[in-house]
Amino acid sequence: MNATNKTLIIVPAYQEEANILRVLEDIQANLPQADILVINDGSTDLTGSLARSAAVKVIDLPFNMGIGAAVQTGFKYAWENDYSEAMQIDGDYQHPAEEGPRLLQVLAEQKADLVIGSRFISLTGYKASWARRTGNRLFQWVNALIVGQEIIDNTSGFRAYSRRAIELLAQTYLGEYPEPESIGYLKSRGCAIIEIPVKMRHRTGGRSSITPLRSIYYMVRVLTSILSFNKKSRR
Amino acid sequence: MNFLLLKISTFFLSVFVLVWILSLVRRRQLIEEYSFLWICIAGVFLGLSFFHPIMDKVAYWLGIEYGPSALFLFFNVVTLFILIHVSIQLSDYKSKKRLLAQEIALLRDKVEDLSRKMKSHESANL
Repeated sequence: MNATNKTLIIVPAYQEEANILRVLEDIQANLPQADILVINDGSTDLTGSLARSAAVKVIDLPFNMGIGAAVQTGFKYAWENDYSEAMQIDGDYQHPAEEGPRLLQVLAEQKADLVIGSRFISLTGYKASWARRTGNRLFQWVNALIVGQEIIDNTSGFRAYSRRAIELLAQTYLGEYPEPESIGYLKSRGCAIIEIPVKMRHRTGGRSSITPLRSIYYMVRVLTSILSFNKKSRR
Repeated sequence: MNFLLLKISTFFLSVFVLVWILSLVRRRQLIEEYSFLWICIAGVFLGLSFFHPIMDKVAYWLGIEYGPSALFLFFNVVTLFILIHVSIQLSDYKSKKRLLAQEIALLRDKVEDLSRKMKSHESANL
């Protein structure tokens, strides 16, 4: 199947009625040529209907399955509908879409498979919590050890993906914490990964899923899931 | 030592488990595949309640002085393996459930698209 020259913006959203409209407006203003797909991950609030009112494509998961399954649904859609590249922008309004074209530009120019928008590479004006920084440092070591490339912001969900990455991630479920895991997975499949600095907003509505106590739980689970990198296909 | 009380309680427990499992199968609340394991376990305990010297021998070989302790150890190990087995199956069902849910969501989207196209086609033909 030949991919046409299309870009799909995948927006995973769970209970984001406070943010979804401004997220979509932001994307429509900054990436007007791209198609937008909202994956409504079993929200019980108005996330789904608000997204539909913004005239974008919405796929409703029948129940809440977590970010990993939501984003994978987006990759499956992108693969089936011949998108040549995809970008993930989370539904919580932390990722500024104005940085999107730059991610796509690097993806195309440097023939990368994954471009990560990093909030830690200098001059981005972002101060992460202590828990997030410590967790990230741990992922840095582990990923550097396993994949031989230093990635600074392993947990960033602001990313652009090539057709090849779309294919791999449509076929492979990356657990409930797909961001750090996908780096090692894609690298083990010979994909090229590039990280560039981006500005990020602090979240305003809702709560971050990462708190100090939970981050320990999070780290243990991610480290466990990283063990299964070399398994051929996990669907 | 006389383990009469242990013998009696093991016997009744085994019979209770056996009857319970069989009635669950009869009411189709438990499929036969899973009942087999539990019937085997109940059978082993039933046997042990009659021939507890076997357990004492095994305990002696294992260097366990108190026979019933060996029974507890045995039961704990069996339970551990069953729990791991159940976790494996649960993981399998979870990943199948996820695949089905994703498939349903993508198919529903396609169906909606098609019916929208059909409607516009129909109204164009009218």
